[in-house]
Amino acid sequence: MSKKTGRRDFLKGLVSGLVVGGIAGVAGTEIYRGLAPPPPPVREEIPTTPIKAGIQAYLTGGGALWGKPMMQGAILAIEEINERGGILGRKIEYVVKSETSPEETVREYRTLVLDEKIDFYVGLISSSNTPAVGPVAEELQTLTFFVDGCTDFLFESVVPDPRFCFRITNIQSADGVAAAIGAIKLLNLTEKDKVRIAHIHPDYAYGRNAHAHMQITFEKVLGKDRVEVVYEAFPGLFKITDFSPYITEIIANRPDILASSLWGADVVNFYKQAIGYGLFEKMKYVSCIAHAASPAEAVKDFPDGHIAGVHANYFFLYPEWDKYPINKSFVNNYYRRWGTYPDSPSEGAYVAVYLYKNAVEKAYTMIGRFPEVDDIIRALEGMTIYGPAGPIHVRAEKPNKHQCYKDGIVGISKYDPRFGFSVLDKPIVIPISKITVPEGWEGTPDPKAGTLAYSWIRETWREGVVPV
Amino acid sequence: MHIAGLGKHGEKAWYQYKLIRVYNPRETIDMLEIMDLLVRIYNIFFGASVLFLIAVGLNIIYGVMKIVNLAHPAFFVLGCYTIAGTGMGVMINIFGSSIIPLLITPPLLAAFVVAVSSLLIFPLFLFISGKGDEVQLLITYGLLLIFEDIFRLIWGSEPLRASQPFELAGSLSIGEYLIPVYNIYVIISALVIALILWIFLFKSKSGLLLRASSMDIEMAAALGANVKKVLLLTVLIASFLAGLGGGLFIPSASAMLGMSVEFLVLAFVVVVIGGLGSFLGSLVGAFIVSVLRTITLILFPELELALIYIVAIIILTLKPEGLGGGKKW
Repeated sequence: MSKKTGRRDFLKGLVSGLVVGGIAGVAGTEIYRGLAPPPPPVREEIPTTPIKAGIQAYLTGGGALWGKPMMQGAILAIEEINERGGILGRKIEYVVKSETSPEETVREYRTLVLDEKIDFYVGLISSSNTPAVGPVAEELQTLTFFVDGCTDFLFESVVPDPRFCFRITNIQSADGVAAAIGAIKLLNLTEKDKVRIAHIHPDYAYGRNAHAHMQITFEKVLGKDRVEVVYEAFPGLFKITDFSPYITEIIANRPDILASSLWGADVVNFYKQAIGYGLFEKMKYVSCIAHAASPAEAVKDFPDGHIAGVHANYFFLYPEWDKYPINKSFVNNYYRRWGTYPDSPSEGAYVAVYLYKNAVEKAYTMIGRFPEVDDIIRALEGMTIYGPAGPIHVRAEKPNKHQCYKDGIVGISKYDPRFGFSVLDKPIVIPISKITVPEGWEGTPDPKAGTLAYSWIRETWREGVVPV
Repeated sequence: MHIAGLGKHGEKAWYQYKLIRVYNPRETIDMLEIMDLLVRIYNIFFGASVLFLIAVGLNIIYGVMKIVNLAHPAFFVLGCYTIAGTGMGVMINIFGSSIIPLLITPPLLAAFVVAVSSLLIFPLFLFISGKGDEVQLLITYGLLLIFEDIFRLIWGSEPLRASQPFELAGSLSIGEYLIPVYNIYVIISALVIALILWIFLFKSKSGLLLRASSMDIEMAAALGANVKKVLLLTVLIASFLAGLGGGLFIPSASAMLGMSVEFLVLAFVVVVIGGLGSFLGSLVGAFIVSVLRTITLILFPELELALIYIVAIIILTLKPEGLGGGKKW
């Protein structure tokens, strides 16, 4: 007998189906609700004692134009965080020590760790100091954020497998490379048959590094036989007050461009005196660093139309404020707190403190208690956060493990009456991934320049091709 | 083409030379090279003027008091800071941007401030006068470090500028060359100062007393000279000159911490080359150091100051009393 589904049966089935389905649906959501969050970690009580930060910055001498803003950037970040209730409810206290010669700097660093018992450290500008403090930080097992001191040697040879040190500012080789590429693009150097180059750099690790990487970039991108070096000088860092003999020799050799990494008081003395000799009308000045720190003091009336580098890092007008509110609020807060505009070192120190905050909070969501230093390090490795300059990434693997990376900018110098000093005009962004040694690259440092980046450029770039 | 007598290598070199002559555009513009040379000479005069103003005071104090005053460059830097930190702002408030008073008043103000400050440490000079070399060196070097800390305390650690006179004076254009006018002013001032100092030392009675005391202070005292007054005069003149130098120099550079030590080294080489305690020696030494620096920068810019030290070593070995030493003043 065939059973025919009657209208009544159909209705019954529909109703019961709806009821069952509804019950299953409700139960489903309940089950889903039960599954969705990760297994609730056993939250341990967070200590209420404050976190202690150590800040170490140049507060004297020619380096103060960098050290002071660096300290101010770190303090601003700490005050902002404290105002919003601290990190997981814990306020941050800070101690400031002075950065000086390597031995003295290490002694002060030890005082911060051993006597002041700091939880984390933010500091250093000089590339002579980071290789001295790096091994000590590993020995004393203290979370250490170097703001600058960006020498390639630190993570390539001094501390090749760091646990406790991190570094915020872009690696030093990127500085020279970015400025050279900026010059090539902004000055249309590829259209010239021959480019006569003069160099003037401070006589220590940074100046030598900038010289080597600017030169190899010019040689690779323009072609070796189109580049002619006509003069090279290396005045001692902050030792020369009268640059006129140098200026005369540079002019007498008639270069097309003058590549330079003079910074701090040196660049101020140099450009003021060079204006008197008319140097800037006779050639284009290509600076990788002049606009990077304290522009209000360092490049107040810097001549227009020259290549202005910011240490391949940050200039407060970019990313543009209306498009990137993080930068706008940073600039506003910084100006309100310190009465001046932020710069590369202040942005670096500010980001360092926020990296610490983000890492602590990330570690806390995973382990459910206030993290130990090892948990924070695990959270930091491979982390990317958005800072005022844009996204910044912490490298987790060799080479240059624990080095941070962000895109650099180079522009053309232009006096801006709104601010009363020279700013970066027509900036071009130099993607960091195109100009630095990639993660996992297995090469050996160039014996002459001493860096991996130099060998990487020499071996992998094609001559005559602009890489960016 | 065969060129007789040159040989294979000679021929290649000749071709290269010819290539350079034909293709190097600089060869055809002789006028520019003459200008390069003139600008270099101008720089030498400027560098020498500054060094002379520091070294001459060092020499006067050594000549009369037999103190190697390592703190002397700090007097010069005090002059720099006085103007860059405070003086120039005051002067601009008073004179606006009229150039003549801005050129003249800052060096005088600096000289005055430095001379008055030197009165405060005059007793210290009396104390170390006649003590052993090591006592003098330790105390004067300590004084230099104390001065550096005082600069930091008063004017902070950032480099300071007072470049208004330098900028107002502008540049002189000769052909396609520019040279800063302010440096000419420094050179002329240094020459005038040297002349006045020479007249004072060699033509006035006080100058005679000063020179006499430098030769034999006991004899001078025995003959009725007021030695204490002579010593005070010495310190005042030396510090006045250092202040004057600092006030003149600073508009072309910036005042920064650590400057004293840099100038100490250079001033010392000047004195070593020129001869300790000699007026003419500091003039000659300043020129030699300035010339050597320019030559180094043309030929081996990598070496920077090395050549200066090499020459100082040679002179010390051959003529330990320095070029102008032995013959007093």
